[in-house]
Amino acid sequence: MNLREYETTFIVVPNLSDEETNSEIENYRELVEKEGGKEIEIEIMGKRKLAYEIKKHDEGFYTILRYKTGGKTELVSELERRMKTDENILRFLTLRLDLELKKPRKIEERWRKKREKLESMRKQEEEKRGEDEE
Amino acid sequence: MKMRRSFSTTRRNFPIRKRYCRFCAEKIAYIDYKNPELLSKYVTEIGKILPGRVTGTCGYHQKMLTKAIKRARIMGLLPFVVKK
Repeated sequence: MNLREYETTFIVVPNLSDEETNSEIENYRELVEKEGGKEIEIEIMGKRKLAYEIKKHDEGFYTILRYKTGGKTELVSELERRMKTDENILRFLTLRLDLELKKPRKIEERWRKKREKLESMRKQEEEKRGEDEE
Repeated sequence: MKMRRSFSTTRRNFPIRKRYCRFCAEKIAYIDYKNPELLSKYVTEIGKILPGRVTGTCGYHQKMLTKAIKRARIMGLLPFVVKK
């Protein structure tokens, strides 16, 4: 069965210690795992300056959580519900990555094929030229 | 009328160069919102999204760019508006 790919980026408040921030992230990773998420990946973007103040903070700790899940979507709604009520989370955004990347992947494939075609044509031409010189 | 005149002067000052879609040229198939350095080139100083006819971005990429900028704004990566 096809798995759905999701990407949730969230911002943790900047005034937590490193351990607290880590445990916050670990909490969400565990939640995803418990609810049946697979191939969980965590990417930490780190502390960044916010473009505008959010809840009186001008900095935020960005973390990206990527995971795959089967047919049921309770995982995403549960994750978002928890983040909504969590005071240590400034913002979050979930994308359905597989849908998001469907067209770009197709286009990349098209570009790749075109490039291969061009390269093989060039190679043929070079071979031809080499034969002529001989 | 006044608007139009100022437009023509800027045109005279900057010779018209051939515009092209940078994303097509660099073979970028997907524009991610988590890259504010790239996105900020496509907004004005105030924070408005530049139209494709100014930047030369093609329709496919302009649409994606717009979405990415809006997402970046929500996530605090780009400003909604820069107040002076």
